[in-house]
Amino acid sequence: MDISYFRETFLRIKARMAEVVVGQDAAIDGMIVALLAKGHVLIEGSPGLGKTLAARALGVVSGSSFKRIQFTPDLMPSDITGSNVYSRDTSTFRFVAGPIFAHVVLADEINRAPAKTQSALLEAMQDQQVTVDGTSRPLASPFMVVATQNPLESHGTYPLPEAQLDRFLFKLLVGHPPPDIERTIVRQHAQGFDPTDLGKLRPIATPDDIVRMHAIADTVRIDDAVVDYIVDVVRRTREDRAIEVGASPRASIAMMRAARVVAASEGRAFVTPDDVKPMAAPVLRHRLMLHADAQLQGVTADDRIEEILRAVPVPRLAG
Amino acid sequence: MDLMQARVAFRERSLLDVVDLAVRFLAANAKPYALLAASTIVPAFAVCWGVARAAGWIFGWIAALVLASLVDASFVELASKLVFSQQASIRDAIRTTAALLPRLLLVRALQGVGLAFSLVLGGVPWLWLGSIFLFLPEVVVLERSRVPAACGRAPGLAMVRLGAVTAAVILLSVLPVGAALVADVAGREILETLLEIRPPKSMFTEGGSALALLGFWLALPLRATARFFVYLDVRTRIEGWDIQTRFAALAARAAAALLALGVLVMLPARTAHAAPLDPAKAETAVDATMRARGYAFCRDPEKPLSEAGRALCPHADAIPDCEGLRKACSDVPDDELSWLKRFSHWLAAHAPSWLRDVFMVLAKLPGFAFLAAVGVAIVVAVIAVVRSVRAMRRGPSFQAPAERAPLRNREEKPAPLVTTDEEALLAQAGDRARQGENDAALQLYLAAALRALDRRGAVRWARDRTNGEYVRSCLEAPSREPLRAIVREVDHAQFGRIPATETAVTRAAALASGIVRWTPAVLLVLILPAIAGCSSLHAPRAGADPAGQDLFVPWLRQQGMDVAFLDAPLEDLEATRDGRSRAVVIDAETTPLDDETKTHLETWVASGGTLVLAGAPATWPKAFGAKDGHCERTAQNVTARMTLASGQTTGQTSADGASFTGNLARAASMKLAPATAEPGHAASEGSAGAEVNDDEDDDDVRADSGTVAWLEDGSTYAAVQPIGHGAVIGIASDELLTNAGLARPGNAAVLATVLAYAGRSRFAVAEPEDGSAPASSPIAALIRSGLGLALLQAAVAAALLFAAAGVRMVAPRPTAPPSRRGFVEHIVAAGALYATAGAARHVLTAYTRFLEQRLRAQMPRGTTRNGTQDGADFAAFLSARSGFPAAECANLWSRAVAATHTAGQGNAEDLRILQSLYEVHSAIARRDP
Repeated sequence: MDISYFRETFLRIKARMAEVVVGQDAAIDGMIVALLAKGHVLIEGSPGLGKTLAARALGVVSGSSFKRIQFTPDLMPSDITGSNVYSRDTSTFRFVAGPIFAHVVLADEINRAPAKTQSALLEAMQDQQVTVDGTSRPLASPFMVVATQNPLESHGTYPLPEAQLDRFLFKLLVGHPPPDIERTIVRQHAQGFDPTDLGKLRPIATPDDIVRMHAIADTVRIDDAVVDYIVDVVRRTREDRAIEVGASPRASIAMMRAARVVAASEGRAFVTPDDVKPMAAPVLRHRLMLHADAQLQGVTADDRIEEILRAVPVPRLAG
Repeated sequence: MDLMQARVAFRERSLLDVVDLAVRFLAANAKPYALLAASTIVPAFAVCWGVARAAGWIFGWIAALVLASLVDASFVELASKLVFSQQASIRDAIRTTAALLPRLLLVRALQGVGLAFSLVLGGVPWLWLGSIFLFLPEVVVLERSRVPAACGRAPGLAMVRLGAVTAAVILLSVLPVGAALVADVAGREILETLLEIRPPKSMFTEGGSALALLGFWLALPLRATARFFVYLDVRTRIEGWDIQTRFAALAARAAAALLALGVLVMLPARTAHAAPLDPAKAETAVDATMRARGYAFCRDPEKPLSEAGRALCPHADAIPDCEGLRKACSDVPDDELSWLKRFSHWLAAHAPSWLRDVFMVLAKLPGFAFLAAVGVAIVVAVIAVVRSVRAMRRGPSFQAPAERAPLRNREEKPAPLVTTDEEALLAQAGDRARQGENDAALQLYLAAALRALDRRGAVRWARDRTNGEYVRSCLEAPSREPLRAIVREVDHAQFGRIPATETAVTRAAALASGIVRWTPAVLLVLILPAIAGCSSLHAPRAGADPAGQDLFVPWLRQQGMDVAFLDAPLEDLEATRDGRSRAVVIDAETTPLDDETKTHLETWVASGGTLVLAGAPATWPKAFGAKDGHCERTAQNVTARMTLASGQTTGQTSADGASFTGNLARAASMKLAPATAEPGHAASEGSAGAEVNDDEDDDDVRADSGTVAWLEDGSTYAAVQPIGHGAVIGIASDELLTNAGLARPGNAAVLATVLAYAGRSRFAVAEPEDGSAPASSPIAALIRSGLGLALLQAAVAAALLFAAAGVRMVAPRPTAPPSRRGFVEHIVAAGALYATAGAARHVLTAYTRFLEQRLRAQMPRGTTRNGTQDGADFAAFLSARSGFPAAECANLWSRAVAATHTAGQGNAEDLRILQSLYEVHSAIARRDP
């Protein structure tokens, strides 16, 4: 079991997912990388772009258990984590596990639940466990939260607090597909494709395989020069004048983990700056809080990240 | 010093004139300068180079400065001699300089002290010190002054025109520096790109280079000559040296009984010839000229013959030893060739001289090969243009990294990379590889490859780009895979910490060398045939075109005539009634005359000029009164008659003169209008038609009006037409001026007879470009060349294009962010209005809502979106941000909110609440603008 196994499995998962999720290669890549980097993903995009389908497909293809939670304003934390229910037969309290006890959890429209409910995910996402009535219960491994939110609607939504956002490894943006891709999607549906029925989709791996891939990714070497590069990029988010709150060290760690997975997915046992650079935007964009003036001027987090990447020299001896 | 032979005009010149004159002077005297340079500069260069190699470039440059300050005196001496003499002794120049070496050393030392003193003070004093000491070498060398006297004399010269001298100091100081830089940069490019020879290291990295040193020394003759001319100019201005030399010339003339000369320098020293053109000797002159010049139009004319050359074919049989022309004339005429051949012949005839040989070769190719060759040339040209445009658009893309990301074990790495030259990088990489530093070698191979690709515009080398980005963005497809392979090896070594093997280094070396050298080599191979074809197949041959006019001017000179080409457009001819002024010869076929020029020629002739005008009479100025006669493609004899002066016997003499008969391949004639000589200047019957007029005050018309040459059918071929104080000798075609036409036996005598009517022994021949007056502006030039309508269309099209597309391509201006201050002021002003109107409650309500909205926007996220705040939140926030007491803020806010929920007009209390709220809000704005 080595890097080549990692690369082969990665590519097979990607190819299998691409069979049902058409035209969202970047999102598919991001989700797989996050799964293998032990991270969670926040997907933002308009309705109808395949966010939910992609999450479900990932669960199926990776051979993992999949649960979906539709976040609503009246959703309670216990609806997510589960609760102790009194059993009349045994006269004891029995724990009924919530949907959080799955390998891949889809938190659909996460910003529709109030902050209290959203916070129920914090422990699960960070420590991979939930505590109910003073009892901590570990979650399955691998564990991944795929949250979606719609950027257009603001009425009746609760913006995610910074602490919650920081727990997501990536924030992926899903855009509208180009015309030829959209034509392919329509044809696919015309030929009888049912996105709600993924029974024909066969898993490529098992949860154990994913855990093994975690271990392989952890062995990927990362040179000090690359670490310096990552830290340099993240530090500059704190020094940028357009950014009010920069990224935390957790962002540096996230970037390192993601870069390791990318390197392994390309069959390399070491990380290069080329693995780091593409990860900067998805890792950082939801962790930056822009100044109001910058927002008024139409500046986005991605703009600043691009500028920062342009300003940070890539480590190399010559050139 | 032979003042009669002075070769440079002593007149006032600007600094740029002086430099220009120095360059021309150097070019004109290249041989003596080259000899002196070989004797002085070559050993001095060797010494400096040796010093530089032995002790470093600092000492090398010091040696160069010292030696140059001494060597340039010999060039000053040489220039001073060459001004007055065609030949100068190199040995004398060196010997004179050597004899003055002690004085030179002293004055140069003095200049050195001045320079050092100036440098201590930032260099500014050198502008003054350098100026007053500028002419020290000239005063010592040319005036043989001793050092103390020179120190007084040189500043005296300089101070009179200090501004000009200071400018000269700046220019002469910059010249060697610029020459060194240009030589280094250009020399390296030539060696590297064209010759593919490894160039020496750049002076920017080493402090000096052999190329830079060479440039420094090669600029020395120009610098010395320019300074000498500045000195000459200053002396001429302040001491009237030109007048002195003129008097000296007169004295010399009187002493030696030389011929009188009116003009000292600029006018050629040749005297006006006393004898007219002698038709009897004209034939001999043609033979002598052809023998001396070796014209090829008879032996080996250019092929295919041009249309004009083919028209002269009837002469081929008549001209002795003209087998080549006869053979060329017997080739298939153009009319019978395919359109492709005719096109290639047309190209060969009309292309610039440097391209003519190429088209001549192409014309011999089969049709498809011709098309293929033209197609290849077009493709190569398009590729070159596209790549150039692309490279220009990219601009100077290479940016040396200003800072580097911190690297682990930096001290273990090779020294920071300072060179940007790919060949130098390859060489460094090779050195590293030989020393066993494989990782560093790999890095350098990658850098070399990237540098080469960057120069070719295939990648953009920037410090923020990763190796993978270079590979993905490489526009040169053949180089992409080799680059990817090198990057893979480099990444393994640098980030994977996998030591590079020798095999990997060898492979990377081969790939990098391929990227650096192979592609340009292929491009060069593709382009070389075009380059070679354009320039070096055959050198342009003089006199190979039978229809050319190469023979005409030497033929005139062979007969003792003083002939020159016009040095200015015909429109600039100055009116003169000087009997020795030049007769101007214009071939209207090759020198088209524009309207302004025609008008000027009419005036010029009327004021006393003598014009020889050949070509179709329809193209002449109308005032000359000539019209086209007939023009046929049939050969006819032409006869010219010369009225004999007493005692002359030449040609076929008759009662009224001598006749000479020639032959024209194409008969052309003209019709004459009545003469328009001014009253009192009409020609007198029976006067000598070809009388040379040497009288400076002569105002008489020089020739009779009338025909001087006839065709067989009696029509006029050449005629003399007096106009005002001058005269026009018109010739109905330019055939006699052509090589073949003039070479045909008999024609030279006819032409000499006709030209003799000009009564001049000095001629100025107009060149094709002289017929058009210079345009006053580029737009006028375009309009004159027939592109006026196209210019207008282009302007309209550009305007339409801009209106259609350009406007949309303008970057949209971002909308100005809303001005909060403006809004606040608006609220305050509106409130004041309502207050004035007595609606205090309304004012308070509006302001309280406005303030609430503002506070909601400023309060922490997650606490303001759902209306969950109560009054305490706002009051606490107001207190925290404004610094006012919490209780006061709570009271104020509650009163304000309560007022907004109460109906009524309001009262003074509302205004007080409003005032207080405004103060609190202003305090927030002051503390957190």
